[in-house]
Amino acid sequence: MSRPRVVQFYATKSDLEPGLRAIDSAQRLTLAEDRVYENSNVPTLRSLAEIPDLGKVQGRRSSRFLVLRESERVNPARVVQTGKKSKVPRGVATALALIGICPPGGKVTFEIRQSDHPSSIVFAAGGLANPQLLIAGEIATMHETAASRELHGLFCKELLRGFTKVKSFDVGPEAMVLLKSGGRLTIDAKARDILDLMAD
Amino acid sequence: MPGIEGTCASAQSPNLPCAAIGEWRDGARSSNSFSPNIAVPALSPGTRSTLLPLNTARYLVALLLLVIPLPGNSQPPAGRAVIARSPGQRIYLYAHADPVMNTDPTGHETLPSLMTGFTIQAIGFRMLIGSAVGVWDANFRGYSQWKGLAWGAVGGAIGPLIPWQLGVTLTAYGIGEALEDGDYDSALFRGATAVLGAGSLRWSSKLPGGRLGNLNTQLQNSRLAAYLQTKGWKIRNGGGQGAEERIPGVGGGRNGETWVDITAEKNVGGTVKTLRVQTVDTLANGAPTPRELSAASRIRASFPGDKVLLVPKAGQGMPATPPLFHGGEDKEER
Repeated sequence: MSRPRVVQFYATKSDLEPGLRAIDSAQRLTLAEDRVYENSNVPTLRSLAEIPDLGKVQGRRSSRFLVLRESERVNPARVVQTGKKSKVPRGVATALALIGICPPGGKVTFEIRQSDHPSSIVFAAGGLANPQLLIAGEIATMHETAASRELHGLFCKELLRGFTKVKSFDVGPEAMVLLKSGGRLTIDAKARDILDLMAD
Repeated sequence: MPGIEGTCASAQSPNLPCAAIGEWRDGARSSNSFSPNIAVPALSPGTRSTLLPLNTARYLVALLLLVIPLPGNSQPPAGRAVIARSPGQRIYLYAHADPVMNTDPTGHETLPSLMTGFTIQAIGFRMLIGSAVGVWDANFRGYSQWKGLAWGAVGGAIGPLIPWQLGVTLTAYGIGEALEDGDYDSALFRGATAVLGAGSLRWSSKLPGGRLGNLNTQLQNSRLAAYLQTKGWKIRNGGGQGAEERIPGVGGGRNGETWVDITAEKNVGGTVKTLRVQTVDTLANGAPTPRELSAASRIRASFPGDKVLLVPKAGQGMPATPPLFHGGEDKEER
């Protein structure tokens, strides 16, 4: 098994928009946000243009989306949690949860896992956390299937067109201006500045 | 380990002044019961250093620690300092500084419940296979299918506990019994089943590794991820559920980049906490290898507010069980 394909980039909204439009026109997609859901009805987006707050990051890191071809369905995984105040001994509660049985006091949630979607990729747009702090986006996949590699290749080709390679990151034109003007380009808003991208 | 405060036990630097750091005493299970009795070379206040050999057997990830003066009025003697917690930072000791007995840096507890859970699954699976084989064998030999099912299930459940010598003896007896009755089909079936079982065991123990580690390690990561999920953690990266998190090298370069085995997040009191888990190679004495410690220190240095957990890789003669958080981790994070 080889290392997952992970391409990290820095881009502002205006850096991203042309690439996202090109991808949307080349391939019809289904997107689902990678987060915890209360039930199995996972809301999906029908195009990259529907990504909310594109180019902005609210938390430490960018929101991530599972990206599939339009014809494919999102299959959320059922996760059983023991809960903080389990009514049975913790060991028993954990054992039950691990085999998929909800223990008393536990709860069931649903998550999106890339491992359950062999033809998918994961896309994070990244963006500005504040005017001087740009968080990295990424195009990643853990799968080696042809469909996943093809989608990954499409994203890399269209989205990163016109980007400049700086160290191990692809940097969009506007992001490059921010980098040169002394702004922080980092993978996590709480990461120490040793991880900040430094111009060559 | 007896107290050796003030005496530098490092063979490499016997004459250096020493600073006391805490060691977990036997039975001490609270992070507040830290008592100074390990000696390490003293550093100037505020100094960060790289790995320091401890008694030539263990390493202290000193990069992760701030050396600060003694609190209150008790100033450290000249040339000495006390490594202690600084605001927002946590002393990082691998497995309570007792990696032989413990298996994680917090070391609060090992996790019988995790193994119980997976053991239940494994036993169930083996019982299923054993039952099928038993029923099939009953059909061949003409005895009760229920009896075959029961014996097969029991055999599957306790199979790994049976010494291989006894397994070979029982198999030989079974084949011999069938041959004695002239039941060659049954003898062939029993022999083939034994060969298939032994072969699959041998095959599974020799599966090739890769850059992501061997199958055991990948399974271990998946199990750790599954366990974390039962405790309310969301697996963001790795753990067999997604691509691993890449932490770039200094300045964003490839040199020194680190791939994290599992990155998990949890909302604790409205704040999203991040936990990174690395399954690590260990030395014969149980301590992580310098390479693993170096990677862990890079992660810790990059995200000082996050938690890093080191778990020995499976198959290294150590219990590869993660800690049982008991929610204490959340309290610690607050």
